[in-house]
Amino acid sequence: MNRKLLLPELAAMLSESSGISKHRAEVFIRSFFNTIETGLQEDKLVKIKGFGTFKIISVSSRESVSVSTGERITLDEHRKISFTPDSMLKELVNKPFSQFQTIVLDDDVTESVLEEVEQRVEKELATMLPEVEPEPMPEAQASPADPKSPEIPEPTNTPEPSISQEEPVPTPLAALPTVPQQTEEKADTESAPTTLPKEDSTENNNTPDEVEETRRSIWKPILLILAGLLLFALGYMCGVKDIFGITSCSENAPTKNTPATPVLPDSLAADSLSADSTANVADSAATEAVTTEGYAQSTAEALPKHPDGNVRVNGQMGTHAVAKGESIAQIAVRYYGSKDYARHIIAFNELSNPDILIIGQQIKLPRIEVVK
Amino acid sequence: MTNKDFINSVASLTGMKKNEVQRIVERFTACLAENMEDGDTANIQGFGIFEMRKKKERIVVNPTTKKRQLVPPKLSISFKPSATLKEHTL
Repeated sequence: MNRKLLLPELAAMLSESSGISKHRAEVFIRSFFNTIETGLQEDKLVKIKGFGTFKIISVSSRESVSVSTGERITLDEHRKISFTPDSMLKELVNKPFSQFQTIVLDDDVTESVLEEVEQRVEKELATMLPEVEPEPMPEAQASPADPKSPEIPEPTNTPEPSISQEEPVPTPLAALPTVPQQTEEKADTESAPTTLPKEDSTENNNTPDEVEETRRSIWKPILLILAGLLLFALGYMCGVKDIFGITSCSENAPTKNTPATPVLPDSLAADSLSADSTANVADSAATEAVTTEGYAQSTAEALPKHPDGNVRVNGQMGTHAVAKGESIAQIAVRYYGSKDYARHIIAFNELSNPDILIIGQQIKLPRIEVVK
Repeated sequence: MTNKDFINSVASLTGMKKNEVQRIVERFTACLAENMEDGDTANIQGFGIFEMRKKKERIVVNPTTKKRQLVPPKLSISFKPSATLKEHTL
């Protein structure tokens, strides 16, 4: 299913095969179709031996349903141009399928079996079209191997001759017995032995590749889902840490190989010891650089609960180095007496993501005054 | 317009002899069919498009013998007239 062929290309092909010059071939083709047009205008019918017949056909008016609105519509009387190819053109176009003949059916054969064949034909056509002339199928394939399949009589040789026919030719139905067998075995779907005159060997070559591909394609979505689940679990773990202490997530940043679970007990331990700051100091490499000023603030002013809008930030009173397993909330509690002051710390430090802190990160501590 | 008239008309338009015209017509048919085989569609400006179509298998009943027959799948050629042609002729 490729490209559109335009006149110059056709002319080139014609000149090559007929021996006339390209220019004359082009003139010929133009005259050819102009004459057809004239003939249709005059006689409504143009018959060209070897090519086909162009006719103008009158179509009587009929009632139908509109595709867009669904309401009843009357299609008026009109005329259309029809083209029926000549037998020569028909045979030439049908060359890839020329070895098929019509056969007489027994009553056993049902539509469903034919549908299967149809699907194989479709798939085969997609791959087959660009190929060169295929070899005729061996008659050996005609013998039914599958006991389940219906009994089909041998193909009858009709007197009508075919262009490329040398031996008695089997039909698509002849290979039908193999169709149910193959669907059971889940053999390759692309080479349709029913309609394509390919040897069994080609089919075998395709089968292992096909099966492998299907296996691979089955695994891909499973792997993707597993990967997705893992990422989700990691993210969730990081989220859960927020309650205990975020540094586990921040820990993941510098040391990427740390798995989620061992970090959790660490942060839990940190939480239990958060009241006791010395343990944290002992754990983390970066010791806290707590200024005495900071402690003075918390003891002297003692702002337990946030008096909602009645506070004012008046410069900076110190810095705090984040310890392992510490959160802004904890820092707020330590220096201001309440978790509510966390928002002030976040705003003062312009932290885009307050949940992500790095151990040793310097947090500026705002001086907060109560405004009465 | 019979085949004879057609050949005469083309011969007069191109200046070729009648038997040559007939020969070239057959060659042209072969070229067209060759392109159809590859799956290309032939687009003649101002005239129309020649396309290839696949026809599926069908079960038919022979009216005389009353037997069910299986018509095999085949490739056929279809023609879609262009708007200009329809304007000029319909």
